[in-house]
This record gives sequence, C-alpha cells and structure tokens, in this order.
Amino acid sequence: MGSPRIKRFHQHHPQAVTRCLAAVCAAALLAGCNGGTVDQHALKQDAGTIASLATEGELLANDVSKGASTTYFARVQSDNLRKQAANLADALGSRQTSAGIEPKVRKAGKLAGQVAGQLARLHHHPVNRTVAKSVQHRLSDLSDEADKLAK
Amino acid sequence: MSESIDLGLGLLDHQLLDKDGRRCGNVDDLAIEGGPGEPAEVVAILVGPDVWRERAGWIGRIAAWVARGGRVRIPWGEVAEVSAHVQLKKTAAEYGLGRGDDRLRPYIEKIPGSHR
Amino acid sequence: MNKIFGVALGILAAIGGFVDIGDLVFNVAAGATFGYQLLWVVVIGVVGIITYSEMCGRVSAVSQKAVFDAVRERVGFKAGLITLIAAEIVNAMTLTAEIGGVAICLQLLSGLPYRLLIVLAAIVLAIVVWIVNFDWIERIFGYGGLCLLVFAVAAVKLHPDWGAVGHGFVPHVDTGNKLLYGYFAIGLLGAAMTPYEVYFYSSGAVEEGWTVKDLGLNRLNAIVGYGLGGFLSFALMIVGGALFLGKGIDPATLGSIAMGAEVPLGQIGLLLALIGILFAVAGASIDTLFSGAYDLAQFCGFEWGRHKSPAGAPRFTLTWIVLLILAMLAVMTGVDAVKLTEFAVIFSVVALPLTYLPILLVANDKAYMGNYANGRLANVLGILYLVIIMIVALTAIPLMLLTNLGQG
Repeated sequence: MGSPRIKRFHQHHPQAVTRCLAAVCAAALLAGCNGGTVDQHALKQDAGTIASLATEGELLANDVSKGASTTYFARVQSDNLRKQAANLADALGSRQTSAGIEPKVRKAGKLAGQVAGQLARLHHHPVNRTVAKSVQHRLSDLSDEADKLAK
Repeated sequence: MSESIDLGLGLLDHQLLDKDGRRCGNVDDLAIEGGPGEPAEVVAILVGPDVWRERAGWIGRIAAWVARGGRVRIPWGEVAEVSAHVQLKKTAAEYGLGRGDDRLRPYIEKIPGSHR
Repeated sequence: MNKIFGVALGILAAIGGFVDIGDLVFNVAAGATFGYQLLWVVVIGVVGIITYSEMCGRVSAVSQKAVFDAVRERVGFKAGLITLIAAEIVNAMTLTAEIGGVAICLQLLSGLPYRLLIVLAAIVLAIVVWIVNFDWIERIFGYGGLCLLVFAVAAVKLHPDWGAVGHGFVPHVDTGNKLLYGYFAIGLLGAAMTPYEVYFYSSGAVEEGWTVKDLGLNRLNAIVGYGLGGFLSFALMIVGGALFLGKGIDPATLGSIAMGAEVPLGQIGLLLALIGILFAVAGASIDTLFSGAYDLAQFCGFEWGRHKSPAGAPRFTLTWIVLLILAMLAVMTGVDAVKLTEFAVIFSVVALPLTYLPILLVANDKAYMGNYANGRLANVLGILYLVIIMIVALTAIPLMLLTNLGQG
C-alpha cells in the first residue's frame, strides 16, 4: 500500500547508481590496497610511523626518567607502542617491494625492530630511571634515522 | 470526535496511552471505511508489528518478522482524546496491548533491584 | 537561588558530558596533523550542536515528543524505520568504541589485562545504571569528566604560539593536502554533532516533563553547556598542535592522548587526564546505550524512561541489556577502539540528515509547535546547518576512502 511516492533516484537511473557504486569500489580498492606491495609512498609513510613511535617512546622514557609517569601507565603504553613497532617490523621485513627500494624497506624494518626492542626494555623496567634514560637516548637516535628514511 | 484531524499528521504513528498513561504502542495504521462517493470514516486503530508489513515493503516484512507479528484492533469509539498522544479509555491489558512488556516483566522482576 | 544552583550544576555536568571518545580522538589528531588550523571548524560544530539540540529540546518541551516519536510521526513508518536502523547501527559502533575506550583507560590506570577489564567495565556500567538514580549518574560522570580541564592547563603550559592559535579561528585552508584537511574537518563536525546526545537530551526533556516554561532553561543548557564543552575541544586540539605536531607524532591511542597531559604536567597531569577520559567516555557510553534503547522504544511505542524502574519498562530494559552485551562482545573481538571511533564518527555524519531534517520540519510546524515554532534566527541557523550537514554527509565516505581513513 503506501502513498504513491516519487520514484526513488535508484529506480529512475539504475546505470548512474551502478557507475557510482563502481567508482566508490574502485576508490576503496585504491585506498585500501596498501596491504600488498610496499612502494615509495608506503615506505615514506611507514618510516614516518616508525619515527612517530620512536618519538612517542622517547617522550614516555623521558617522563619515566623524571619520575613523571606511573608504573602501570608506562608499562601498558610502552607495550602498546612496542606492538605497533613490532607489527611494522614484520610487515617491512617480509612484504614485496617495488623496484629499487628493497634495501631501504628492509632497513626500515630493522629500524622498527630496534624501536620495538627499546620499547620492550621500557616495558620491563617501568620505574627504572637509568634504563629509561638510556632508552630515551637510543629512541632519539632511532627516530632521527627513521626521519632520514622518510625523506 | 467531531473536529477534523489531519489523519496523516495528527493521528497516524502517534503514541498510544492507556487510561493510566501507560505507553502501549503506536498507531500503526487506521481502518477506514467508506467507498468511493461515501464519506470516509475512521473505524478503528490498528496496532502491532503485523501491520507494518503493509506499510514498508520488504523492510516492513522483515521488521514484522523480527518483532514477531501480532495485530490488535481498537475500535474508534475507545479513543478518549487526541492531543499530543492518543488517549484510550481503558487499560492496555483490556485491549490486549502492551503484552510484550507484560510477558517480559516476570523475568526482569527476578533480578534484585528491579523495582527501584 | 536554588534554581540557579541547579542550572549551574547541570551546566557543569554538561561540560564533562560533552566530550566523548570521538572528540578526544579527532581533536587531538587534528591538532597533531594540522596544528591550530582547524579550530574554526570546531566553532562551527559547536554552534551546530547548539542549534540542533536547542531545536530538539524545544520540540520535546512543546510537543511532549522525543526525537524518534517526532521522526516517525513526521516522515512516516518506512522512512522512520530506515532512520531507526541507521541510527541503531551507528549507535552500536559508537557504544562499542566507548566501551573499548573505558577498558583501555582502566588498563592504563591499573595494568590489569584488557579482556578482563572489558567485562568488568560492562558489568560495572550495568550495575550503575540499574541501581543509581540517573540524576546522580549525570553528576558523577559529569564532574568526573571535568578532570579533562587538565588539558586546558596543559595547553597553556605547552606555550603554543598564541598568534597561530588565534589565526586558527579564522576560516582558511593553508595546506597542500586538501583531501586530508577535508577529512578532519568532517570528523570534527561529526564528533561535535553527535546524534545520540540529542536523542538522549530530548528523551530526558520529555521525561522531566518539560513544558514551554522550560524553554529558557533549554536554551541555556544548550548554549552554555555545549559552548563550554567546545572550549575543551579547543584545548585538546591546541595540545595536539603544540606537543605532537612539532615532534611528528601521530597520536594513535588513548594513551598517546593522555601523554598530552603527562609531558607538560607530570604524574598529576597524567592521572587527571586518565580519570577525566575514563569518566567522560564512561558517561558517554551510558548516554549512547540509553539512546539506542530510547530510539527503539519510541519508534515501536513501548514504555521507556531512565527514571522508570527496570520492571516498569521491561522491553526497554531488555533492549539496553542486549545492546550492552553485544557491544561488550564486539570489543572482545579485539577491534581497535580508536579506529572504530573514526568509523563511528564518519558513519554518524552520513546518517545525520535522516534525523536532523525531520526535526527541522517539526520545529517549523505551527500545528505541532504553535507559537514556539522556529523564529528567524533558529531557521537561518537551522537551514544553514541542514546545508552543511548534507554536504558533509555526501562527502564523508569518499573522503574517508580517498585519505585511507586519515592516513593521508
């Protein structure tokens, strides 16, 4: 029943709707297709992420070294950061890369692994100020290296 | 009920309240009698998920199935007042409305604190 | 005197209650990506939610109908049903993200395992809602959320370039990455104009028995409550811009957001931030939970109410229990709460016209509203925001896809 409504757009113009849907799907594929080959753009992005994780870890380590954090927060947050870095290390270490940039990609993977390692140290010593200071300095260096890769 | 009401805006889909002010459904549809040439007259209010089938195509049918059917017919004479809500003359139970709540209540009441 | 006190308390609760996980994520991320350039968009979002919620409050007070009553009556059963389904989907996503956020906060505070905390969070929320009077719930979570003011202190302590901050309030687009800018603008608008808050607010107005005498209170609540809440959003963005942008940090977790208070203010800053986030997000999750139940109850016509005893509104009670359990299970699948928040905000923006337009129509309808229909200002703003909302709704998903969910 129901009142005779104006025919919906999709009933009048089925081809337009199909084309629209196809365009959206194409965009989705293009946007989401990062899970495949690592190209120059993806490398730049990932290097930026490594630098970001390292810098965040550096900030956290700095706070721990000053006694400005809490045990639980430092332990949990450093582990959260470590997991992200470790995932990147796995991905960059094993994925296909586009031509010519493989050495750089693998280097980025190693870097991510080192960042994860430092964050693990912080995770296991969330109140040790000496360890925190050392982690802070190492992460600072690692973040600079990642920045260079992102250029 | 001598004043005219805009059926679409003033009655259909409005909240039903029983004699005690208890919410007991919406006006899901109206039964109108009167063929071509005769004055149309609202004869009853129809309430219940079963009524949704006719109003919303396939989505309505799925919704009716999820809500598990059921249809109640309330003669127009039972309407006490049409204002913000549609006020009925008797209690919900007497019409067979609000049964979902009535069926569920014994289970909820088993949990401590449910009569806060 | 008592009334003024009551109003002030209500406003305080609103400030803490305005910020939810969507605001936290998008405001800090926007600051970390574009500095202070998007502050003007927050202003637009705040004026938008003030406009929308004032209209909804007025409709409820004058017509005694909450949003979904009005939606179904105005647009009919079929369109109303589609709106309901869209609203419930968005609600479920938002609720899941918020429960996840509560569990994350509890983990950052206590170090206990995440999975355990998810269940604990759901159980505690259920018990609180079951036992505690709703006025007290609003107070507890509203005041707890006020701890978020620590971000305002942090923003000042980080010594931002105040000239640049001021410049951020002037609408301008000064970046090469216009698509990403657009994505964040939409996210900020969506985070400010959360529909569940409006459903909750209008249902509350009906339950409190608001009449035309309360219209002034309605306006005051909306303007001052959301206005001051917007101030918190500014603070979050400034912290993002002052701390994270310069260091190239992408704040991808709630812990990162809390760092925004720890770095300038130390341990006290961290604890206040975590407590503030916890109460704000937990309070928001209760609002979202009840919104989901209100929407269904109002659409179907069965008894509802936050002040009713659970046995007084059995189907309503069952609805929120089921919604809470589903959200809890969804969080346990390990979904990333922050990523889910972004999806929830974007989808809520897409669905926003479905509830905004009927309310605008009802608010203009003299048959419903009598003398209290929209005046000129309300209509200018109302129509302006309808246009904004339609544009945002149409561009949200394309922008989300093209920027790969804000990754640029």
